[in-house]
Amino acid sequence: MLSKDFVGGLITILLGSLYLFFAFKQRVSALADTVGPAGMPKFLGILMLSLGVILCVQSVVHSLKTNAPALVEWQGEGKRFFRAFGLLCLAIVYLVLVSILGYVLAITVLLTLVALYLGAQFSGQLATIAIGGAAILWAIFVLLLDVPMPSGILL
Amino acid sequence: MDTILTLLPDSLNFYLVLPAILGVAWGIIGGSLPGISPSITMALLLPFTYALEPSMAIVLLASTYVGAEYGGSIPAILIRTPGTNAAAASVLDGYEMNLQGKAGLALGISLYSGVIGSFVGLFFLVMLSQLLAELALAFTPPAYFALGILGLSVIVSLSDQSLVKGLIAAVLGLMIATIGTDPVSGISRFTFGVSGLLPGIQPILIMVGLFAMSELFKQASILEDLRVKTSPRIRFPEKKLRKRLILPQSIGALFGGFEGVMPGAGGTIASFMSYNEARRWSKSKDEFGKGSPEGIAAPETANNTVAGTSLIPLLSFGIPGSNSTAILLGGFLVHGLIPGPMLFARSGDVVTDLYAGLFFAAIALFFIGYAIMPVCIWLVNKPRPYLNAFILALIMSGIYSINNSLFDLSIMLVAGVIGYFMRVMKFPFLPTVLGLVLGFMIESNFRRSLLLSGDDLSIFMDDKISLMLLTFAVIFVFGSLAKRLIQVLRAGT
Amino acid sequence: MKIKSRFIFPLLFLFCSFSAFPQNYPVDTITMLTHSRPGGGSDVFLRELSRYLSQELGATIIIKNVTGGSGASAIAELARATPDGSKFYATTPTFIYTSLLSQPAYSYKDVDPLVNLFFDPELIYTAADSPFQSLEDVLDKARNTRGLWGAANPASMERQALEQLKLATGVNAAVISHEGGGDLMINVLNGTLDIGVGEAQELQSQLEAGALRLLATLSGTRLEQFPEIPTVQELGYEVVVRKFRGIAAPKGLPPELILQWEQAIQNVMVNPQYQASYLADNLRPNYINHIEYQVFIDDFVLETESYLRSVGIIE
Repeated sequence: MLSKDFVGGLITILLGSLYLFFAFKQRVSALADTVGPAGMPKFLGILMLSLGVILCVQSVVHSLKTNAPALVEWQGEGKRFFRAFGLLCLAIVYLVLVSILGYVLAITVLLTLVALYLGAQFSGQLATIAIGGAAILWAIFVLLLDVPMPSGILL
Repeated sequence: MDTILTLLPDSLNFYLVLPAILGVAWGIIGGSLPGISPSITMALLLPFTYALEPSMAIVLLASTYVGAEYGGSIPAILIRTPGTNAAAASVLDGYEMNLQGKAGLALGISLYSGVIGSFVGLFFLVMLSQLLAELALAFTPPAYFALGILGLSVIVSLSDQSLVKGLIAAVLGLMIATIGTDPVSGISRFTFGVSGLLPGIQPILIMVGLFAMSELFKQASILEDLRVKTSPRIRFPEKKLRKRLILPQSIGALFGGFEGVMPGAGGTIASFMSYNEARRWSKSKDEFGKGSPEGIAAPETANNTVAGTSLIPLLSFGIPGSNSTAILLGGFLVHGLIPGPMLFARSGDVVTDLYAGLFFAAIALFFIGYAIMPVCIWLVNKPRPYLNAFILALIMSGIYSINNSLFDLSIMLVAGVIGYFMRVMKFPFLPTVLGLVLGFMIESNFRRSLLLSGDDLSIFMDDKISLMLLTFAVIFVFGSLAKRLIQVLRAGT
Repeated sequence: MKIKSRFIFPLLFLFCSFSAFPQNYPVDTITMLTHSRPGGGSDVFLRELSRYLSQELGATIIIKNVTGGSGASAIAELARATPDGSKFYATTPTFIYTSLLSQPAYSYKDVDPLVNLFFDPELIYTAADSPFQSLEDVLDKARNTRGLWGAANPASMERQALEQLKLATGVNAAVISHEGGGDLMINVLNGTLDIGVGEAQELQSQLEAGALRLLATLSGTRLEQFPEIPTVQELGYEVVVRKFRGIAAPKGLPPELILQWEQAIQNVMVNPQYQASYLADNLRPNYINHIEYQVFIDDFVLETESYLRSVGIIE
């Protein structure tokens, strides 16, 4: 029952409704044309909602027809999801750290943590790559491109 | 012919070769960094051109544009990270080829097509300026709308996937495109009071998120390293393949030719439209999305053609059609040159110098592109943990530099999460990107057309270009639907 | 990369050290912020100004492009800066519009308008091969059938001016906004639109080529470059656009620094070299001192806010 398509359809319905809700709350200005700023969003919201319903129905029909256990296609997805989620957390850690430690330190930490997370070992190579990588990125973005990277509050 | 002959004496002029080479090299660097768009790459050089002699300054900037349009494809192919918006079309097949261990060939095709595109663009610029300028004038709002619809119509023919899922993905892209200031009334939509959202979400954030970030998530989720080692040598297509690439390259040149001259269309739309059409007209459609050389050749030819033809509205009307040409306009203005109809009469020598410079740039592109490739391939053959850590750091740095904004980084990460789930649920990316790129153009020009006609829909029939493009779109949609129906019926019986 | 830096650094020296005359300005380096990208209107304005102003003040001036958030990021940076004369911002109506249209963390209220230098004249133009010889022709068409007028952006001063003209004349016209001045000009050139509104600088090359015709100016008085073009006000319609270009400072700038800036700007504006440069760019000098500029900006905000409210763009 809970095949990937069915879940996808449910998410689509949820997204469509949410979008449609805000589309109906959209203010319209006196300068607006006949279609108006809410015209296209309303259309898209309804379209998304109906497509979600169709996808759900399709997947139910399909699973009834084939009688295949839907959960097979989810096998191992949970573990994979958590490993991907871990990487997202590291990226968020960087977002927090960069305002505190400043760019150079934060990017070194990011390089080290991500490499470790993805299976690198503590070694001289890791340190070299993390520090070297940070130096290269700093040289490109700060020195060459003059990007005002966050300097942090500690330094 | 006369115009070409006048280029010859200048070709001996070393002083234009140097800025062309430097511009291309700088452009490739900037273009290959995710988030650093061609226009930012050019803008970074702008202050330094003030000191240069006008011709050198203009050639430097224009060559940077050429290099940047090509540079975007390197990370697109090697690390699934589009360096520029326009290069996102090259991710689709380029990265697939890379996964098959054919990165050297993919880069070769991209470079080969990019150089061809640069020459075609220059040819259009020198020989067909007048004609293309008139074409740009003929494109009214209904025609832009129809062009966008034609672009979206390809979604129906993505036959190997569920049509419903393709449509959902497209609507998602269109939805993202509605965020920001309403193109007609000026009221803000879905911004929730965040001023960072007022100008809309920049497509590059979504593209890098969908393609690159989701790939990093996916790789983090799989423990074993499935990569095929790529030999660190760039390979150019052989004769048989070159022949096969002629059609997609012509399509790319065609779209690059006319979309370059249209303000508001530009490289990204040209790349995606030519990818669509190359697929539509290809003998081996099914290969697209699975590592088709044609899928790289078309967009890469298109975006480099644009680097030439987008100069046409600037030189003929004084109108910058894109961010990049707006920077070039700045370059003209600080030297007291005003691009436009009078430029040829008043400072014709600068214009011929520009032509000569672009010629050198196309040649320089070939050699520099060839020289740096082994280094790039060598880099991506590093152990996976280090490589992916570096890619993430690169993306986080590049996206930040667009607006010096941590908020942009969050948007990119959200797009990455969406992309990850789309992959898990097996939704295609191409429709989302098409919706994102074309959504604004479709909506604003649809409403603009209705304003022009006083809410009379017949304006889309009365405008000849619009009628023609819409007819094509309708034929394609019904054609693919009919094909699909026949398949379903056959399978049913 | 190596080639690049070898190329950049000598030039960097040339350009970052314009001049540093030993005078009594409290800091050595002044950073001027703009929300415009390099090559954009405010960017070009600041770069030209800095050439002359740095000598006048005796400090090096660096231009910093803080794009993003339609000016919100630049305002935020200025509002958080120390008022020691080291950071300023090039004002245009954009910073007011952004403050009014969204709820940015920092708005025009958090910075101090210092002085004004110019008004950018906005002109009403049509295609040279169009049947309209005067603004009245355009209005007649709009009275009899329906006018098609174009503005560059949806929430802009040009749009506001056309909407006000429509109100003042009571004609039937659709005001159609575009994606920038170039897009608009193409639709005027190909005859899709009756008229468009644009700055003199964007129109210059088409005017010289004879492809466009000016019908009226939205400035308060006639322009020196186009003495034969009437103002809209003269034609009997109360519509004036004041697209200002000035400088804003962080709140709490010491009075002696304000004085120093007022003096320096006035001196620069009569510098013959600078005069030649800004007149060529079609900028109209309109110096406003610190006290009056605050009043001017407040008035401008009130006017814009009531307009945006009246048409329902903001609540």
